[in-house]
Amino acid sequence: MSENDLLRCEDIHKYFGKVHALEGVDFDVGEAEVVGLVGDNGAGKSTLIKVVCGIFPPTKGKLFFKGEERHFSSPQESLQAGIESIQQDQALVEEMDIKRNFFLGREPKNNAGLLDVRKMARESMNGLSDMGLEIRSPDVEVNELSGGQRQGIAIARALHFNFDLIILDEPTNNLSIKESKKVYDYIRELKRNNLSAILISHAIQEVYPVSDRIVVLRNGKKIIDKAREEIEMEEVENAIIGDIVEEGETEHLMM
Amino acid sequence: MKKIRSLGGSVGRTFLTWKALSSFISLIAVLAFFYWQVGDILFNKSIVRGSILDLGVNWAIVAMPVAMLMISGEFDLSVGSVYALGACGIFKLFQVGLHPLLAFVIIIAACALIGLLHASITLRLGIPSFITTLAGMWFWRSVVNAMWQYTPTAPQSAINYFDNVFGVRLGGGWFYSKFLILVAIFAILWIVLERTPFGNSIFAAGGNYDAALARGSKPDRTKMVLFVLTSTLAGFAGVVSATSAGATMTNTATGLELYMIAAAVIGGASLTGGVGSVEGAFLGTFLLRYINTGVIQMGIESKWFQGIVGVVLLLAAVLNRNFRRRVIKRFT
Repeated sequence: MSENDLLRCEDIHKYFGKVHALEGVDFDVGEAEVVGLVGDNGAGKSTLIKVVCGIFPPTKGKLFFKGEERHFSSPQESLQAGIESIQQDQALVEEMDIKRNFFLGREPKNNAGLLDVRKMARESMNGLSDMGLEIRSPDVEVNELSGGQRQGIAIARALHFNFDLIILDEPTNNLSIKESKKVYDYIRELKRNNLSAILISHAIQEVYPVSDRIVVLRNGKKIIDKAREEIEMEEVENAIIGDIVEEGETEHLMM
Repeated sequence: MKKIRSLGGSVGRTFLTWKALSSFISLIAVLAFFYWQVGDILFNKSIVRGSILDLGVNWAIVAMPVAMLMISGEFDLSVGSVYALGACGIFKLFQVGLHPLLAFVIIIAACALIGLLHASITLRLGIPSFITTLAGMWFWRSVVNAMWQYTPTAPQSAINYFDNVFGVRLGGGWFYSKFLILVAIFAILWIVLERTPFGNSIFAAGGNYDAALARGSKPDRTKMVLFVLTSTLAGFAGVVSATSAGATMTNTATGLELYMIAAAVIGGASLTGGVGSVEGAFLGTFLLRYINTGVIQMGIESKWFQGIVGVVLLLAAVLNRNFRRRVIKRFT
């Protein structure tokens, strides 16, 4: 854990009633780093992300962002600080066109105080083509687009607004191999722009190709945290489903 | 030449992808049908001013905010009763001798508060607005009925105070002055919906509430404003109706809420939110007025009004769902 980590979570605990969902997790993301956060359903990864996004506070533990201790109490606060979380079903409004989606919640105004539709059209198209995503018009409604194109728009938007950290939930779920490769390109484009990302998935195959570091959660604890070069995909897979029994793990299971 | 063609193409494309196209087509079809049946009787001055525009203006003032509320994913079934409250309530205040302007301010403020109440119950307690405003529909109608045991009356001087504003014949006798007020409201609401960040938040609130919330677009605040706007304009329409007609009844506008939803749907709105337009609701309202007037002029029983409205509503919904999808795919 270095001092210039973008995000640093220290000893995060989260109880839901008597359920100990996170048991002292340390988690950090460096500058321009892509971290794959994997684990089975119920391992605690979405709980951890919800703590990071301010959806609920940790029961115990500290959260630092850009070197400052933060207590996000709403998604808006973390958004303002520079953390963008892209849940697949919460990223875009299907019935709205691209330009309106791109600027939703941060609409530019012209001199008359009205929506600057031209600027919205121009900049959303620029944002997409910078990433190599060509769509015929900013007036196209999102429900006309493929899953990969939708991810592309969400990522381009995060890039455009200069978020520091982007959290992608199952970034290539339901996508074809070809489209998944494109989404990986978009994620690499984020890195090139000095942005960081957390990719959440229950399947290591989904995040391994593009992650710099792999973090595995299991039963609310961090059991692996290694650079990608230092770990094989099979090893991670086994850790997720629990073939490797870590120290203390048996005790936990027996309790 | 190429430029002209591309301009023509762009105008054509704008027209074909226009959200309110279905209501425009329906309106033209209905007008053509009645023209074929009864000739130009529907287009003479007294019919247009009286039968079409007089009631049409009152209705359209309500239909437009109802459509906006539907786009945001909510309903207001209480607009008919709040309209009646505006109409009968202002007569009550006239009768107790309040200055007409003060009576107006009080009644409009009361209707705004009713909208705020509906919004609070819906959004804070998580009750679907269908239920909240259905309850409101019955409750406010009862308030109106309790207010007047007999036909509401008011001093003519107070009525004239507003009739001189709303009921002046203009345009060579084609319309009353209140039509200009409607046009102004239309222009404001259109700009709000299509050209402001707030309008963007309306589409987002109904299209994908969670996404709107996640983007910081404050969907609950948006819905709250729209509930208040809808009740306020419903009450205002009631005031316009009572003062420009010089009379009202406690059962006035009974069933209006469903016609307003019909107007919004004919104009391209969906029951699930996220789509629709102000101009569609505007055109949809006048379509309803033309059907109403047309069946009477045709001499068929006016009972058929509802039957024809039902058929047109279905046709417009089919146009919106099937035809529009394909056109958009092709032309954007």
